[in-house]
Amino acid sequence: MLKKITAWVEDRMDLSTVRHLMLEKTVPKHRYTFFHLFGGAALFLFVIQIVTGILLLLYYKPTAGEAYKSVKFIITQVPFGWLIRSIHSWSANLMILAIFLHMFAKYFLKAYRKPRELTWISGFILLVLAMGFGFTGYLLPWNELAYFATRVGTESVGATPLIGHWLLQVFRGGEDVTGATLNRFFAIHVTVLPLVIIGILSIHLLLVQAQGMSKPIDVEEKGKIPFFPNFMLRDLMMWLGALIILLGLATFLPWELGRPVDTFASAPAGIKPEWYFLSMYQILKWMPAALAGIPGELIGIALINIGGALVLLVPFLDRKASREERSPWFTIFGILALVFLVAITVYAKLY
Amino acid sequence: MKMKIILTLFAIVSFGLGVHGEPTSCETCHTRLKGQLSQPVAQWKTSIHHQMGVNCANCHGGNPAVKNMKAAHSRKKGWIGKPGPIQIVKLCGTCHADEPFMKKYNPNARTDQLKNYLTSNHGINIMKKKDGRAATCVSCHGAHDILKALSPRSHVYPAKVVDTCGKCHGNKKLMMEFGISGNEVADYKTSVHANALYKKHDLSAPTCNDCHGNHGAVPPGASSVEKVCGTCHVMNQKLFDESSHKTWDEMGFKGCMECHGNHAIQPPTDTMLSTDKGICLNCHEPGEPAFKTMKAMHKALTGLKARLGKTREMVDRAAEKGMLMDDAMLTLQDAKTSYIQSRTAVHRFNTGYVEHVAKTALLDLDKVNRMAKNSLEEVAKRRSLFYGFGGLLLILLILLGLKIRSMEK
Repeated sequence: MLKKITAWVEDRMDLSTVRHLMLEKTVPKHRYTFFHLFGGAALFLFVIQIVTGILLLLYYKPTAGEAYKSVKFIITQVPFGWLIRSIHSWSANLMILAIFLHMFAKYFLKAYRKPRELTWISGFILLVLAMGFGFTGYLLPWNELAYFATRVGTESVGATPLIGHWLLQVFRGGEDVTGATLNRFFAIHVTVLPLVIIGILSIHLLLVQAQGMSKPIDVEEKGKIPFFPNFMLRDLMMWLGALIILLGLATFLPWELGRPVDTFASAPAGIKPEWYFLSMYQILKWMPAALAGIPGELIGIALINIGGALVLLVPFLDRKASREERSPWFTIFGILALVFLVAITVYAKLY
Repeated sequence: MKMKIILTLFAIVSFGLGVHGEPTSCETCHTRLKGQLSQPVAQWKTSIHHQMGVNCANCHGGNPAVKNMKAAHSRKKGWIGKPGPIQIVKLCGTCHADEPFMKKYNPNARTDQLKNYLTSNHGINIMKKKDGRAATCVSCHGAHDILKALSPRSHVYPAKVVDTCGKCHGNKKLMMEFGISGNEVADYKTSVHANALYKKHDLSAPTCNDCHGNHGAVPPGASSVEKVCGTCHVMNQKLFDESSHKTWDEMGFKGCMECHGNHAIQPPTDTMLSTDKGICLNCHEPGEPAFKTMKAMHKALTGLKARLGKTREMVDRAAEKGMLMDDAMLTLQDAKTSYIQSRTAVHRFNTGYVEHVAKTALLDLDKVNRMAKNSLEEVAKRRSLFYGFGGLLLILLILLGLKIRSMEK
């Protein structure tokens, strides 16, 4: 039966690429093979995001008056609504964590080197988009924490030279965070970002399939393993592991709804953004009011952008790796950046 | 009468001399002086009188337009120097008891202060007994640094009233001379009212003047204690008046004070109704019907309190486990309100009434209890589901690992 179906399809289109992927594609086996699995985990969590996001859309109402009530309805009245909402929130966080792990793993394995520069760049754009998903999604329950964190978060945009105020108004849909901001964030979260991310993700995956997985410089290869089923089964194991963790988190630590927004109340103490924005938040917090006449916030934003640009351009900066030579300075820089990121995030969370 | 006319004329004339333009000679000279004599100007400059254009000569007389000290301090120009206690009261009253004059500054200004003061012990001591040790206007409001009562820097700002009164009433030696213990201020500072004022920064909490009055400061008589407390504790007074204790006044008992004390009032506890330490035991013997009422009210209140605590603990437990307990919290708050009302209800000294009020709380608690129980059951169900489903996934994960191992052997 399966053969008949395959033959029917093959009469109409060329399935050689799929056959190649299924039967002939191999993956280099070495002691770091495990680190190739984080990308697959991020993809799996993204699929979970789409599925749970669609389910939430069935009940969620994106208006200032109804948003909080609708999320409360989802978690209290809708069958398994609590699970869907918790999984959506937790998998968003785990997805960003998986992307970070994937990025650092690829960085230390120097997988960005020629000819995979575009894969690295598309991956970096995917990280930024995922953070955009997190930022826009955080406001949607329209609770107190999200409201004030979004006010603080969007305020930094206003520090951009020349177009800052205009940009702030575009983001907020007015001077302040209001129902208009919620509509805007919702539209971006469920239409703009998914369209863009699926486009960039397709390019990223296409490049991965076309170029295959990179082998680290100077690492002894222990042969090759077939992509299907051996590597696919490893991916499946990772996905199952992620699913168990996700279900455990949703069951034992269900995502809180918090208190509804009271726009007349003063901001509660200790308002902080999500963990993946904490490093940027802390850098901005450390900035003086002004330095040599330049506003501190602007300097902070410039520093964050320079850091991002350096990461984006790593494939072109690390000339040695592109010549298949070891580049220990980039490894040291990566370790320092990782330690700095973790330390500043923990510090911002605690203090 | 003659003196009053002179003072009024003197005040009206001296206002005409004005302070709005150039500084007066009083300001110019006293600013240059050192020590005590320069302080009045510095203090006056921060005062409401300075803001409103009332200058030195308006109270002290003299001629502020001339620079010569002798001419400025001319007795012919009404200079009186430092006014004595009686003069102070009359001087202040010249303006502050003049309704048309005061309304020019503030349409809602009170002008009954002098009238009230004259009825007070302070006023009687100063004006009739000529006893200068009693308080005059400046003793409480300050002489030169007078501010509006609601200014936080004012001596009579709610948070400062106790210390202002305490300047005299905290002086045991002085108070003994008037037959007052002098412990009142220290006692007040241990009270539930002081706690609300100083620790919770609740400016509506009563200080000395809220019970004793401010300008008409007389101690509340035995017949008025409960009325004084009742200005804030309205429900307690109403219930007390409906109770069998309503005849206390006639019997010479001092209302609320008998059970709660006066200055050192402590937060009421259920122990006040207990069979071993109950306050009722001060008057009632075990075996009397009142003793039985006390015992029943104590049982109703302590039982309700215990249920409230137990239910709250259940709600907290469900909330800690991630359940949304907003509705339960709201109903629990209603139950807590009913519990407070039950405690208030004891002032009627009627078991049936207390139990009736407590029933509302018990019904709310039943509702919250059911909500918390359902939530905790839901948590247990979710966890069981996770153990089952998660366990299956874990087995699948292990099997996959074994499969990969066998494939690559």
